[in-house]
Amino acid sequence: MKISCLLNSKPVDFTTYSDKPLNLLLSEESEVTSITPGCSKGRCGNCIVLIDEKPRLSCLVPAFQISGKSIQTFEGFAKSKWFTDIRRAYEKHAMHPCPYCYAAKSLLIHSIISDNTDPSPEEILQAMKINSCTCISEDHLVEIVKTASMFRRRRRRVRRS
Amino acid sequence: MNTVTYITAMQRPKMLYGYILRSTIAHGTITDIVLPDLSKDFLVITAGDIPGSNALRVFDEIVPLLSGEQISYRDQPILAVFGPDKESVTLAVSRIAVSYEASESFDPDPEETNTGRQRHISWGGPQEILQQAEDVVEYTYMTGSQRSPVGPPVGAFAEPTDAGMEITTSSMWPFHVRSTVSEVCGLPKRKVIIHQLPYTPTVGEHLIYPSIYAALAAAAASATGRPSRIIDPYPAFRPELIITRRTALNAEHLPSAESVDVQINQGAFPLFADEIIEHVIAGITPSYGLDAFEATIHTVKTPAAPRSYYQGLCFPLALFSSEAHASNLALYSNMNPVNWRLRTLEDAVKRPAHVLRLRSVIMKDLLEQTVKRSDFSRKYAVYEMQKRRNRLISTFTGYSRGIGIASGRGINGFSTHFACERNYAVSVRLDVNDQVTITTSIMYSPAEVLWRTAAGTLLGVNPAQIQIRTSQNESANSGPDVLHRDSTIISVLITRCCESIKSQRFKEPLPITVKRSLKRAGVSAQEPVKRPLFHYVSWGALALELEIDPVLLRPVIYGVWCTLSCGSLFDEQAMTNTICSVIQDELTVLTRSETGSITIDAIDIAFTVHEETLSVNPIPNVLGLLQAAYTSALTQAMNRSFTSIPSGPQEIFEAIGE
Amino acid sequence: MYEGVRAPAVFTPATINEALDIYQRYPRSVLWAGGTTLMGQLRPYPSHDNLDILYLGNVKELHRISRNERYLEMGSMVPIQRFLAVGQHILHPVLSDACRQLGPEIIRSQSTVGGNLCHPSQRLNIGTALMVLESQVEIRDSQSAKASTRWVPVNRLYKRDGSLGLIHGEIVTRIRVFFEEANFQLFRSLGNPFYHPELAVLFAVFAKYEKSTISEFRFALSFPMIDIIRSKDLETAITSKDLPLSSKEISHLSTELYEVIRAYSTKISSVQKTRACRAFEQALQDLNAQVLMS
Repeated sequence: MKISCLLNSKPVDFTTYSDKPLNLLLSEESEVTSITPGCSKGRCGNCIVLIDEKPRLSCLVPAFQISGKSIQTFEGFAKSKWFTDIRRAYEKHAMHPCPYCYAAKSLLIHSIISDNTDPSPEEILQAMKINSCTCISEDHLVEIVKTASMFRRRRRRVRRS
Repeated sequence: MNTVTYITAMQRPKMLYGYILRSTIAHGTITDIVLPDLSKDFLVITAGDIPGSNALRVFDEIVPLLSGEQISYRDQPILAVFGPDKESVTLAVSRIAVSYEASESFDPDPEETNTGRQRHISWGGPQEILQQAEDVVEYTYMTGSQRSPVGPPVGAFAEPTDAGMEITTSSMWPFHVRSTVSEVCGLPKRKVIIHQLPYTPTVGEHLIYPSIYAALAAAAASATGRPSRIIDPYPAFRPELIITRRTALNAEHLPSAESVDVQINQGAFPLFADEIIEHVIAGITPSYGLDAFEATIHTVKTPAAPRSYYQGLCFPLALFSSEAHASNLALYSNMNPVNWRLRTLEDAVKRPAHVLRLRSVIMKDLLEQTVKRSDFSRKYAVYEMQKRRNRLISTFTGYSRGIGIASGRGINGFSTHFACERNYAVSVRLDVNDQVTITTSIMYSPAEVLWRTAAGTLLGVNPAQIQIRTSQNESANSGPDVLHRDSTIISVLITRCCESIKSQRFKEPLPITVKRSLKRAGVSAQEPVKRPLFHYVSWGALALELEIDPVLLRPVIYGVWCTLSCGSLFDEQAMTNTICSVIQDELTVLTRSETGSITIDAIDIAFTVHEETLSVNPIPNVLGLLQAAYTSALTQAMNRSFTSIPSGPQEIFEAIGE
Repeated sequence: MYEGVRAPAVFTPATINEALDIYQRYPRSVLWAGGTTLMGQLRPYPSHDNLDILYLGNVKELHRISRNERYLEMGSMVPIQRFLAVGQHILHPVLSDACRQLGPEIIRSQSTVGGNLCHPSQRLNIGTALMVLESQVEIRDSQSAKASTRWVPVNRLYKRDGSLGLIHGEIVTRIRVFFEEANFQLFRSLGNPFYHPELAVLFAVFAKYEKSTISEFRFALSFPMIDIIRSKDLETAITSKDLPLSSKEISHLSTELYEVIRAYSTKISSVQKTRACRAFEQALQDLNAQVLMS
């Protein structure tokens, strides 16, 4: 099956199996290396990508569903200004996710603070629960997301003014 | 970008993808294998197609790489198929028909099973005291089966080049990969070049499996001249232990003698069995004082996948039995477990020299700190009162809470009996512009971050600027890089190098290069040993509080309080995070959580320094203490004895007896 | 991509009629809704069955949500998260809780109402909640000469043995939830129906009372791999009882429920039976508490 889509803002074509999971498609048939190979069953939450700006578990998305869509992986996201807010939050708390979940956690935090300018601890933990890696404690995770959210609010304020 | 290169990233044009077909029976023989019509794009490797020896050698134990006719355990690799892409290979394997003749029973040769796999230690003649004692308490502790959680894939990539066979994999024992590929493919060792990928996180699946996959990929690459890759999600398994402890109590209801029997199920091939026995000895030796003690440890073969290293070599499981037993003895004597421990702690004056030393002063201090922070004594008394009401856990009446405590010492690295020579070398070079390069004999270690921090602190440079390299010339087979053994020794050598550079700085011209090395020969278990069995020891105490959810029948963990003494830490925050993560993951397993990672209201970790030694990895200790404190808390909450791990809703339901 | 392997063909109809037409011509194709269960549980990749795929995601009619005074109607391809967002002020709490407890937002955004309702072998959250709400589903048949349409109560979507009651060629197209006031609603997911269905229980309650007398009481218990159970006898026994219920009454009703479950199937595990009865007891206690506080 031939599939055309945008991958990190660049048009790409894949000739692949129609039902191939997106995580495998990206890690085996593109230059993407940020997708951590995991359970492939929607349990570990380490294969998150943004599809049309929304976070998705790429292991649960078949190749045929991405036709015409815009896919952003951590490689693309890391170059954006939005990642700066998250990176600064990690640095401020001197706490970084482990390499296994770094990409997934960063994309998840981005999706939380994009939808909600001031997420509550419950909302943060509920949204982050999809990622099963325990390298950062829940308390620290809440602090990091809160800080990233503050940086994001400031950025928006600056842009508006 | 803080990401890692995994084996899945290893891709080449015309690469062959491998898939392992595994046995569906546990024990028997293969009568027939019918292969489908496969085009020339596919390659099938059976035991008969191995160019060299069909053997995976781990010290004196030999495991067939592919099964041949005889099946020894369920999921044993039978053959490997290589093809042009993953999908076509997977589908080709699904069309292979294997016929078996299953054996009714598994009856291993008893002589073979027991040769060198049994050990007996004793002091003081416990049998006589046990026979004469009026009060003998017996408990059996069981550690159930456990498989590694899903993590990054394990695999190997092999590429034939002019230099020989280049292997890329993430192995805790790259030297073993090299020797296995060499033996299986009939290649000289110097022609096998290993490129190491990082492994993280791991409980043991990166120890032996990379050697198997590398050998199969190399066999395919040799046969076809094409690069080959094999990735297999097969999990690692934890050995299962059954530990029976019989303790004679004196007139004051304190222990006087104890007899312990340990059975270790290591599956079909007992890898590292002798070393596992050493670790079990260290774990089952109790912290409480005894006039006499004996232990018999033996391994058994079963038609299950080989199980050896899993978060350690069974030390945590053995420590769990010692500490859970201590709490059960306290309960039997109707004493608060903390008071009981404080009263029975001893400095091990009666123990043989090679058994772990104890320092009661340290243990008391850690216990007292943990008790204070967790408010243990008050909570314990309240929950005892609740227990004495003797009501079954119900939806409405009262509550079912418990608090447990454990304290003990942990080990680090391999025993002095480990049958592998240890050669380590480190060189540190300080260049102009504060450029620091560390060259080690370890091919990869997750402790690299700590080494950077240590060198950065000592030399006053930014740790991020420090380069760490592996020298293939200086590297030597020192056994697997597990239990932080290599990391600790390398840390010592790096510290020595940096201290030397510090003293030479501003006196000598740059660059300054300092080299340090260490060589230790393994000592046979049969030889009398006067020095301690383990070089590095950590100390700890841990309390855990829980409540049983009356509807879900699952434990809800309120808090874990842990105090550790494990030498000088380079990065206390990083160690705290790691321990919190280990506690959360282990409790997810222990409680048989149905909904993934569990939530713990509070995890409180504190460190104290009692001995100015180098940082010792406390995680094996924490695991054993956590398991013991968990079962003790469950025992109090349910007013029934819990002596098995894991214990979740099913076990709690059985304890209620509805 | 190796030439020797045939990849499944994917049909992406834009209308229901087109979907029914394709389904009639390719009756062995797999109906694909959100795909979370298919990808994560039922169809490991690469699939050995190699069945073609009939993807319903592009059928606009199946994404519609509409309402009138009597009911809320939604297409079967509405993602659960969208359903929650659109209906947050009008959805029955029992249904919105069932949706929320399905998983994190990232999963709910992909799962669809129809997919959750029509899992081939498991009875899940939405079905359990819709059962106590006595909702209806629209079923369309591709096999008959003129594509037929019928509305049936949700309980008739499943057979007596708990399996999915759709005849081959049928598609669930719409779900209708009637607006109905209730004083007490509850949904609890006890355990995880996907990973440990042998221990999990899904429990839904919908109750009305007037002047401390129960005027209607409906409850459903789902044992995911077996069936959704509703006991009309027990519901009738509770209806017209005065609140608060005494401990003795609650205990008696719980014992009756245990007998109902025990008689229903021998496959229900002991832990499931205990969890179901304890959740039932706790719900009655919560109902008591609500009445006493009002």
